[in-house]
Amino acid sequence: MGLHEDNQETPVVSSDDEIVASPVDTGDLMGFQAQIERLTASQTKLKEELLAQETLVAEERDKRIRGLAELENFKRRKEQEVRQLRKFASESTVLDILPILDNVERACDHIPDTAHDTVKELVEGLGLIKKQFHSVLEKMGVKSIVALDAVFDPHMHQAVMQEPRSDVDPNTVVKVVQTGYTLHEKVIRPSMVSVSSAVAESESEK
Amino acid sequence: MAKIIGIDLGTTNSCVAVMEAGDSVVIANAEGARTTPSIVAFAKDGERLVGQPAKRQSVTNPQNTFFCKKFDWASFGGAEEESSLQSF
Repeated sequence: MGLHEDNQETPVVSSDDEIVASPVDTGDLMGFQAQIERLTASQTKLKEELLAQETLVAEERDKRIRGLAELENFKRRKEQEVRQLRKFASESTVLDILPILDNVERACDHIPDTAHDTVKELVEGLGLIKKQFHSVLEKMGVKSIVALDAVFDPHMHQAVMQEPRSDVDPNTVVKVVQTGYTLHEKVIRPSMVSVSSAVAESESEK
Repeated sequence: MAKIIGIDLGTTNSCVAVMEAGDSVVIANAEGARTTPSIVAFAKDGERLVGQPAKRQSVTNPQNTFFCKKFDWASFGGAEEESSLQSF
């Protein structure tokens, strides 16, 4: 009986305000075991809840970090896009102007040797116009592609015809039909060329 | 981080886009173009060419340049038997 008085305790309450343990008669073994079972069950439930919360926090943290990383990537990509747009903003205008230069060059190439003196001044003037055109384009970052005698490169040249030739290596540019141009090293118009091919065996035997 | 991409493999041109922050963004190719001709070629030196470069050398390398062309079965005696086997 004295023992019973010493063990008077306030009821133990769980987080749900559920009384899981109450003062028991220490001589009551069954009661004791039941209390232990209730406490164990409560502890298991609390552990599960904690795990669930920890998992949720980890997931949210992960989502947040991924979100920030995606924002960072997006920002970087947009900056790159703007840089590219600025760099090649003049591309379509240049492409529209190039045919004019093509015609000026054709005019210069078709001057007869028998040109009259007065016409010779006009011819020189035309040559100066061509030069001016080239220097303006150079200032804009436009360069012509030197294709003649080069090895055919589909990244810079467009083959429009083939010529069997024995005097040059096959796959060499033998004629430039239309000059190609690059804008800041990017090919905006490939050179239209004629490419040499190997002379057919039967032909060379003739 | 896994990305979702969409590919339009067309008979004449192809296009690729990637999902970014809920929007699709078209990806430019190595030449800076947003679409690529659906042409493949195997150059004489063994290099594999795709798109515009492949198209540009097709005249010099017709045997090894490939593109999509609808086949005219009618001019080859038709394919009624085979097409009747199709469920669509």
